[in-house]
Amino acid sequence: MIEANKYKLGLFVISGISLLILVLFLLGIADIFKPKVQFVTLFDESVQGLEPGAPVKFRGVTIGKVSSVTVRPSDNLVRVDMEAELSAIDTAGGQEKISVITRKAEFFYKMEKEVEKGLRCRLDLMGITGLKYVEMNYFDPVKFPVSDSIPPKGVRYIPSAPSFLRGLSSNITTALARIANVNFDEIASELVASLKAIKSVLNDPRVNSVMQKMDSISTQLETTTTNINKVMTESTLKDFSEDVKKSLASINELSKTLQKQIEDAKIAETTSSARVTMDDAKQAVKSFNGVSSELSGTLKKLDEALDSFTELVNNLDEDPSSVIRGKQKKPAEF
Amino acid sequence: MAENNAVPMIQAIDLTVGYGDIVVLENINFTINKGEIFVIIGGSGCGKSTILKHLIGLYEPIKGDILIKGESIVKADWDEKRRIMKSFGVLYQSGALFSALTITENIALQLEEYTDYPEDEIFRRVNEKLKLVGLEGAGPKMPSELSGGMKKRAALARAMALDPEILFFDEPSTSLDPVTAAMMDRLIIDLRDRLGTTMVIVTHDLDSIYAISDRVIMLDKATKTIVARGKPSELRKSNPPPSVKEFLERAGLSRKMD
Amino acid sequence: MAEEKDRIIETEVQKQFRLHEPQIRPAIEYTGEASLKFWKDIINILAIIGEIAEASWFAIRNPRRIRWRETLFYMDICGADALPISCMICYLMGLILGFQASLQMHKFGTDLYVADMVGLSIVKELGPLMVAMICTGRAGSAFAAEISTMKVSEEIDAMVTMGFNPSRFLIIPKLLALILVMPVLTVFGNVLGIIGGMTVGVFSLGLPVITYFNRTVLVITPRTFSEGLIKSAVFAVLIAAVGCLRGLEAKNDTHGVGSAATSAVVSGIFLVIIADTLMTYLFSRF
Repeated sequence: MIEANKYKLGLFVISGISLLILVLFLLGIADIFKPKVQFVTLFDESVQGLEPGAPVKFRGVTIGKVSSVTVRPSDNLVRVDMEAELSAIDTAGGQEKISVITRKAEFFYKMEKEVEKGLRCRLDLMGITGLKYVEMNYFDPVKFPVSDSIPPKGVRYIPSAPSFLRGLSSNITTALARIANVNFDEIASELVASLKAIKSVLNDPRVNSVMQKMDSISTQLETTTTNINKVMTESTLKDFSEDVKKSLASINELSKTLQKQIEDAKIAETTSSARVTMDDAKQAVKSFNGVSSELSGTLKKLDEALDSFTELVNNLDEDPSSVIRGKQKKPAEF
Repeated sequence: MAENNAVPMIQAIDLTVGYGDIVVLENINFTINKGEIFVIIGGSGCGKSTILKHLIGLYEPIKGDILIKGESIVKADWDEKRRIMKSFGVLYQSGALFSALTITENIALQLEEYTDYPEDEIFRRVNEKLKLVGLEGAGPKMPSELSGGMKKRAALARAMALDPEILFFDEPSTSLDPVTAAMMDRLIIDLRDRLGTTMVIVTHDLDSIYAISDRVIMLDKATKTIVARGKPSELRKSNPPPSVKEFLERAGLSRKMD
Repeated sequence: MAEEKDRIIETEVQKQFRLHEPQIRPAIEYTGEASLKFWKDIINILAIIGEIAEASWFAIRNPRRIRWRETLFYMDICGADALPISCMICYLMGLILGFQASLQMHKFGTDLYVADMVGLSIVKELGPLMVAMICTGRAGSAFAAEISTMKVSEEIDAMVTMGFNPSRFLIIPKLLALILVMPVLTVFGNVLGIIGGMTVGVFSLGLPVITYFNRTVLVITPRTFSEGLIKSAVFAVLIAAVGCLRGLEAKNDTHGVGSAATSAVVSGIFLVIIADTLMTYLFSRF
């Protein structure tokens, strides 16, 4: 007898359809009916890995998704249209009764103010898949000014900031270009010349003798100082204020002895030869000055380069995996 | 034959039938008149069931034409064929009741599909047909619950559902016990007498032939044609070919054995 | 003597021919026959699809004349009765996929992506496919057997001579029932498959249920889900059509019933896979 077990069949169909509705609601079919706001940004870089449907996050909170990615032919900028659920941003302040239009207007008004404060769209990587998402966050409005490209008409425009990867690559490029501009050959040859000059000065036997004499002077000075010390200790220990004069006199005497001793060292004789040496040294120092100014320029550039690297290193510190990911490929579709 | 002015119920014109390239029967010609009990006989494999299936429009002949009340069933398209088919009923060898439906549903099917009768009218007609074949009360049963003979009678009731002008029988008494077979024969004659229905019967049951047939044609496997035709009594008196003679001898034998 | 020698040589040559013959000729003949049969099959399938389209058009214009009672009956036996086995198979499928995926994903520390893998595979492919396999085995073969039995018992002939269109009486209720029921089974299968993956995620990888759930809901879109359901509806048409076709083509003997059922299952699976390939390509394009 062809007759369905209607109870069983009914149970099956009803449970199946309710399950389907439940699943569709879980998968977000209700989102279709939620009020949405549209806005757009322009990127002056490759958006490789950004697909329609990619999330749009405001400080990490998913507020919507990318609805389309197109190239604007007039200036080859990539136009990214986005859609955000109005409910994701609570402009109404919990007041549900405010109409959708008012909420939209409020949203756009707020956005405009936020852009002045530095709200920018930036591409960012999403996990290991190589897919990207649009991150909306605050950047220094001075460092990341609103680009002068003409914003698309009819849609709220939020300017973009270069993505970390783009910043990284441009930083590396400029640093490398600056390093390449330094004339290392010239610096090297001048350095060699300066070093040679210094060496020749130092090799002069007169300098040697001066040094020796200076050595003996210093030894004598040392003994003198010991003597002074002795005197100083004794005199100060006994009666400092009283013996000041005496001490001064003895210092005077000492200085005289010193003078005599220096005279004995025949400084006058060495002076002329020393003067010649000094002239040579001056010359060397002069040429060295030229080199050093150049060097300081180089060092400045190196400093800047190092700054760039520091930024890189900091970024890497925050997000080390971005280097491992390497060049972004389109992930395999399922 | 007698009724020259009237359009014959069935006409076979130069009919060649077979399966694919294998020709079973060649250049068959016959005419069946209104109210006649026309029997097609022959040995196994001579093509008598085949020719029946051609007559009812299930198969397309290799050559020739079949006219039912003057209309060609061969050349008809599906809609015309359907209209022609509604004018006759067929009782298949196995009954061919729809096993998924009850007897009542089987009989009511055509009435439901082709008529605008209300439900009680359909039910009344179904019961009338069941009474006609002697199966009162079997309506709610499933075909599998019936015996072979009852199935055949139920199938006959179904074939008559639309009160057709022609009834085709494919071996009506096969697999029936002699009593039931005789009852079937009586039923056929009774129906013809009461309703004037034209009957076309394919059989090899000789008792039936003598009991009911107005006219007989005999088909032969070897010659692929009609080897004898006429009234069964005439057929015996005339000098038939050996194959026919043997066939009829056997009939006589079975008569004596009864 | 000379003549006899010739004859012997001839027979040697013939023998060689006979040695070579069975190796090449039957193979070629077999290939030829098989291609012819395949071609005939394609024509028949196209013909039955045309016939079904015609009958469907009639059914759409006259919905009251659809055999609803049969339709409900087939919905019951092909849908409600197939529910436990479908759920079971899909659950196990999700479990297997989850295990395999977790083994690989764990190496990369991407355990949570098991949810993506299982969810998408089940919803896009394996859910509809597994349900289709079960329905081919249950419904497709049953349809073929039923129709071929009806053919043996001359019920089809009776139907034709009663002026009924067999496709309207036999195919449409079955087709309609499968189209209505298979997407519903697929919904159950998908959910159970995801639960299977979740079982692995939760018990083997130690992911929190809610994390796995959120990830699954995130990656499966309503579009993905409906793609799977569309697939299963198309599979339903193919399974019903090929089941009925094999039944109608069956030889008029009891052996024919068995081979019709076998053939319905084999061709059903084949067609389902072909259609799946095509649809996967199409869905990836649009």
